[in-house]
Amino acid sequence: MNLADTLLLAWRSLSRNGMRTLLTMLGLIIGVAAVVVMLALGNGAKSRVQSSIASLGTNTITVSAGSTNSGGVRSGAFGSQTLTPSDAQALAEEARYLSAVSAYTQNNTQAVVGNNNWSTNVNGVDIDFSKIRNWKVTRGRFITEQEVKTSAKVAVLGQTVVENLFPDGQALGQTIRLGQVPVRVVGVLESKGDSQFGGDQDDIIIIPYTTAMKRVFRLTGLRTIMASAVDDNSVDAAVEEINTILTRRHKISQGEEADFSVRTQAEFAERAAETASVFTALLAGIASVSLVVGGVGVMNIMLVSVTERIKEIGIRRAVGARRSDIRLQFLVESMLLSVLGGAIGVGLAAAIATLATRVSGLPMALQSWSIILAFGFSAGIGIFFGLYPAVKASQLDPIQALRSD
Amino acid sequence: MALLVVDNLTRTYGSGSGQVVALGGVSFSVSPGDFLAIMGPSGSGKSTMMNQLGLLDRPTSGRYWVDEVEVSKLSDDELAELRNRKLGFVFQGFHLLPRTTAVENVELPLLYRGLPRKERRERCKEVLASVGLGHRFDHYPAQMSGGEQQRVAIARALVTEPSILLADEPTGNLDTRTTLEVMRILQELNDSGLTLLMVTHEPEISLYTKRLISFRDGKLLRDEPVHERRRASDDIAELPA
Repeated sequence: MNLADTLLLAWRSLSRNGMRTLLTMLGLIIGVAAVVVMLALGNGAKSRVQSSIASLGTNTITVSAGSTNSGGVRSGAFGSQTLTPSDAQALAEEARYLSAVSAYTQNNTQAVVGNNNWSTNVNGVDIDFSKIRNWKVTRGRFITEQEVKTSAKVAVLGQTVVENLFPDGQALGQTIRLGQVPVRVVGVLESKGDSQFGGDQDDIIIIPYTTAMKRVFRLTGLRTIMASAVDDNSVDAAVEEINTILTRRHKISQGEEADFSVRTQAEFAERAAETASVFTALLAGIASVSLVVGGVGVMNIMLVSVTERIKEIGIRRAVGARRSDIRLQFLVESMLLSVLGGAIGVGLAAAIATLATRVSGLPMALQSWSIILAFGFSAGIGIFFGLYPAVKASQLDPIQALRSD
Repeated sequence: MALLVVDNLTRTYGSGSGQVVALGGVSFSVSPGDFLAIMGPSGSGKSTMMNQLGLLDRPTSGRYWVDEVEVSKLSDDELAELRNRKLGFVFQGFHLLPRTTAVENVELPLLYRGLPRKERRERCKEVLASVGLGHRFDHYPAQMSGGEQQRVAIARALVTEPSILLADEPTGNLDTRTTLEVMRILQELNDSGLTLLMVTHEPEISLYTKRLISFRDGKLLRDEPVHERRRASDDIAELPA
């Protein structure tokens, strides 16, 4: 029997039991659509994370104080303050591949104005910080070099802080207390919205790092220095330079563990993308369970179909069908069922992705490989779950089959 | 040379003390152009014999030649091919595929021969017309009378141009007139040279054949020519209108 005839036969037999075929396919349709949509959702999330990290500036470099090793007792990576403002100074002066360098320290502090108070993220920074992080001031101004030098009691507020401390919105020129330290508001930052991790980037107060170290947090060293490479291509060279300068300054000999670490935004983006990939795989894994359940549905209905058509099988065998002809007939039928289900499932997934993107703004990246994967998977399911019923049909004794009613 | 030769054929089911002997050493041969009636009470082994002759079952011992091919050595696929090339089947219950048109039912054996569709269809229509169903090509079995359904089944058996037609109680489900019409067709086929083997339990039906073999308890009881042979066409003419 040639392939066209076999396909036609399978199609006829499926369309003859339209409702049953549709219900069986529904299992696969849902399964395939779930897998494709989940993959699209995961990939959409991944590309959004990547692009939002990239929007922070892919040339951003973070130098963190590493673990110290004093008398065998090692502190954790962030337990030390081995970096100093003079390290930042040195980097700013010596490094050719850095366009901006800022000492950076941050902590949660209670900010108080009259009857209002608000626990917020206080960042002690240098003047270049606004360049590194792309902060823009909507009202007033950013902190000045002079204020950093003199540890001036000034602050720039994020929108969220303004809303919570100054319900009337008049923040400029007012004085707020950070713990015991009164600071004057000199500027308000432009809103940045939520970060990719859901954190409110506007819930922030910026003060000079000198003020933070000496007056607010009372620190002797720094945990972090933020820097920007001159452009995306010189990030690696800049990292190299930072390593060289700080190794010399910290007198770290060959083979000794450095007491600082340098991370780039690109590495960070990579790690975030990895996380998103794991998340995607997990979603797709769960969704593929429904695909397998759909496959079991196919096997079930094919077994029913074989039982119903025992007599037909007997007649076909009597007029000259070989076992392999019968096997192929049922296998092609289950494959056609699965492939049709898969195709409709992919269509449904495309519709869902388009609709979801339009309605909710969820990022969905429908990818051709995920469509091919789900489609191939459902065809595979057709073969796998169709094989047992098909073999069963082909092994029927023609005499018994002819005698059955 | 005989078309079919059966030599000491046995078929037993089960083993040990529960063993049932369905055929206990049967031998006979059939020449081209013969028309055999196979008779016997139920349990006599005539159906088992028919399954053996139709290559649907294998003997426990003994040998069987179809057109000089010894079939006990053949594989399953070769038997299927031989069924398709040499044999045509007509059953008591017609055994047509439901929800499948007359033409498509007749086409069934040709599907396993790999003939092009157009040629298949033409042959099917010719054969259907030859059994008097030229007007019923696209009818479904449920839309046809018993006699018409059996004629579709005969057309299906003939479309492969077989050497032997095997009919298992072909008139068992039919009334007198339709029975005679089916017998008339079978006689005409025999006249044109086709070899026929027909299982029946009605003695009067066997009178339309040329040779009668009867079975009892798995053995060949009698093998004799039919003396007072009747013509179905004559009997139809005598039926009250």
